Amino acid sequence: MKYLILTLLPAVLLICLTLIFAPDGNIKNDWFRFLGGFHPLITHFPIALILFIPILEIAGLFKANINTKPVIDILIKVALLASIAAPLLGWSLAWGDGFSGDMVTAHMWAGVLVPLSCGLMLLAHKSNQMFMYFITMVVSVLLVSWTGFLGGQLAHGKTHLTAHMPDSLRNVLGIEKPIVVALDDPNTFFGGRIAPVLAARCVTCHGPDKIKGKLRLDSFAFLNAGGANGAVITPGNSTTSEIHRRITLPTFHDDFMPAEGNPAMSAEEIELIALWIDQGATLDIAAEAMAGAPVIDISGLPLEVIIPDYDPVGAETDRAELASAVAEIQAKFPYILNYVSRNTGDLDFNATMMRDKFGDTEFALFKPVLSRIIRADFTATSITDASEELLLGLTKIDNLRLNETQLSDQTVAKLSSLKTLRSLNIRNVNVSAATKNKLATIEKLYTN
Amino acid sequence: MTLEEELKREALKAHTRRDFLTGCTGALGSLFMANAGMTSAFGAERIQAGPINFARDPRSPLAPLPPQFAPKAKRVIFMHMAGAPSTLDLFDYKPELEKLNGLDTPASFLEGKKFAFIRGVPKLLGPVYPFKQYGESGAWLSDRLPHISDHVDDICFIKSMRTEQFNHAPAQLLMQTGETRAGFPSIGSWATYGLGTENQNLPGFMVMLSGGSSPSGGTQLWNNGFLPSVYQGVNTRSEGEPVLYLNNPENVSRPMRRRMLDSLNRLNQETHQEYGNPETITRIAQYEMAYRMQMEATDVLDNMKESEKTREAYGIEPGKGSFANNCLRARRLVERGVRYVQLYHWGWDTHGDSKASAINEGFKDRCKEVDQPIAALLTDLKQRGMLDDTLVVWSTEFGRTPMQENRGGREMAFIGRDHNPNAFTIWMAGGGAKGGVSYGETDEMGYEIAKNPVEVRDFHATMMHLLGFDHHKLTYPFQGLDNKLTRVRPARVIGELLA
Repeated sequence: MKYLILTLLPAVLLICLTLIFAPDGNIKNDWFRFLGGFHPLITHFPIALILFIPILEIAGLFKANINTKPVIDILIKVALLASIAAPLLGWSLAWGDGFSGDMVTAHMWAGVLVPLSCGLMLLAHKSNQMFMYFITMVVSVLLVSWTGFLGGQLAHGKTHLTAHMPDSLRNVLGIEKPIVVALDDPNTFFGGRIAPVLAARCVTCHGPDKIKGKLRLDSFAFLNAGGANGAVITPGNSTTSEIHRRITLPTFHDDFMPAEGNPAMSAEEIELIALWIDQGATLDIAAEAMAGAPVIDISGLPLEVIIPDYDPVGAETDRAELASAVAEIQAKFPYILNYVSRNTGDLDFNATMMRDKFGDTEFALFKPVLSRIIRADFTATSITDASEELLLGLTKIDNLRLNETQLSDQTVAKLSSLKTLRSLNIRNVNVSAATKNKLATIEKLYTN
Repeated sequence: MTLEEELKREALKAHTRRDFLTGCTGALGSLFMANAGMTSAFGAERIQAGPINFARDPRSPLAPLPPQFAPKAKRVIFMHMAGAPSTLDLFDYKPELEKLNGLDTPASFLEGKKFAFIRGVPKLLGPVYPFKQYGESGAWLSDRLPHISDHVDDICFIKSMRTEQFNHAPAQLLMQTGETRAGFPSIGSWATYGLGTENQNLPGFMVMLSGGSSPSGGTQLWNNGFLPSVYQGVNTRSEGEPVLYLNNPENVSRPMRRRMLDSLNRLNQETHQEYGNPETITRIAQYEMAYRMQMEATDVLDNMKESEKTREAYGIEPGKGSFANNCLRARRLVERGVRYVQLYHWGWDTHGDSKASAINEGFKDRCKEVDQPIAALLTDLKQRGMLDDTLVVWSTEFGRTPMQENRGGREMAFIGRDHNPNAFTIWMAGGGAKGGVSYGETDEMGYEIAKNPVEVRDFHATMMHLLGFDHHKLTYPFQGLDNKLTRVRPARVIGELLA
């Protein structure tokens, strides 16, 4: 009896907890959110352990001389513990982070039933009731698989298993291909009227190039799939739709969209989106279906600016190869060689401050880093034709300033082989008309 | 007791119980901060790349640092027309207003509005000068700027600027520091703090004044605010010696100056070792820069080093301080790697209360003073291939009313306009600004913004973007806030202005 209580009590308590404190969609204390973060980690233990039980049993059938019973006993006990911890943390995540929705509820209930069936399995195994044991084992395996599958859908989207299924298999199983076309039919209300607004207002951050919060809004399918926090639309009810909540928040709110100081959507745009959601948010609504719907001229909408993310980690990787060479040169010639930005290993070279004190000997020391220099300014330095080979080693150069140098016509003419060069300044350099002609393909050529 | 021991003892005495307690709260604060750091490390959304580190060796506080992302503009020349010229008579052509010239202003224009000087019912005032379209872009300009008219296809006009202040000093502060009160860093301070400067023999942020008077916002306009003092703008004089006391006094040779500095630096080093205040090192660095400036600044600020032809193109009269002189100096400075050059030209406060401040009189002279030099500067930069990465800004602090000023409700002898914070035009050229563009619109009277309003902070965010910064990321912690140029309200980078 005591054993019975000990085994089943936690499972029952867990069920009570989820009944009484059902996640309500509101964000709570950080402790819940913090602990909840461990749910995806712990959750793999019950899955692996429970699935291992039948494997061990089957292995035991073939190796009669091995006694699997004590091992399985331990396995079930650990699985039970893990299957209690996982939903507890999961509840903490859902309660704290404000998760809600049908899929969350289904995942939660499947999850809290696992320890119950696992506990019954332990009791049956202990008391050698082989039929009960077999039944509870099958139930546990099915339950934990189903819970895991739902959890996967929550984390990676509804189609996480079928998204890349080959068509041949898809046909056999009768699974429809998810819609991945970026452009929806402009004759539909969504394609013709909602999508352009989303494209102008949202897609810079929620599109193919940048997927913030795992949410893409560049097609109906993506909009429907939702993002990291689940669905963004509740068909038929705009007021409970996340997208509507976000665009109607006060602009200073952390959750407000469009973020990054971009302007708020206009009242007409919000009304249009709300109307569409209230009408069921499907692809079937025709573009002209709603007579009173606001008409939005997207040509007048503000242009969103893509602000590159600050990526010091990426920059460090990009710089790794030449980091020591760059540092060495920087120590020798302070301020002449700098990184173009904090996001890249590309280099900016400016020797003009040294004027005629910078010549061929000095430039030769820059040889190891030439291939990463994007912009180089030699204005009024004393480099000569002796640096020709080095100059031609600037294989990534975009902007080259050689004005007021002593370079000869022949050397300058050879610069036409620098394929990436877009801007060349050879003011006050003695060059012939023929050379200027040869360099005319350069986008910006500055001569006398 | 040696002098040193005595000083040490005095320093200890000065450390009171109150200091100790203050220190304690500081420690508590740092504990709290450490804890706050922990939570944000676990928080889901907040963990991005962390703030950008602007720390430098205190011996070279102006060392160049790379921007956040690849910039379009590497340096800035910002021309501020102090006193607020009427952009209705320069860039913002209002044919409707022309038709209504001389009629009483409708009551709806005046309800709930506050003016500096207008009282009663003023008369509407159409464009005082004829307008014409110029360039391929067909920009409308009045006949007061014949030289700048040749450059309209390189210019990006913002015709829908508005501000929150209708008095000169606070409005100038807002334009230059993002805040209407004194004590905040100017754009140039932020730029040099974020990017340093390329030439270590010159200040990174230089200021030049012309027009006979300083702008009413005063030195606060190029102040470093809460940023370290090395990021303050260095004001040069437009007449006489550009930088005072830069030359060695009589009978002091350069080697002698060097020895003096060396001794001074040794003393400062000792002070630093004792008290550990990084500003001491900064001070040493500043002395050293002044020493290097003796050579370079004198040379770079000397317009006589330019050809006669160039000086003529700018319209420079020898020996006379002027906006033209400052424009040429600005080009010479940015060419030598100065990050940010700020020009102020005073005398645009055209109320019409005197001949000098009349739109039909003094205003003409002001236009003449700036038109040719600005055009020459643009030509010069373009020829040298520098306009591609030098951002040139023409700005002011607010606009002027489409009504003729009637100070105290009486008709005035000269034509003038009152302050209008609700609409004005500014422009940019080069440095990644889109040429031949006119962004935003005022209403038919040029009184309020009709389309695409641009707040000062939006303009600042756009400038920072061109310099390679997300304006949220160029921050400095002060009084518990990560301060930034755009302050606390949301600001937008205006994509339509970017090339």
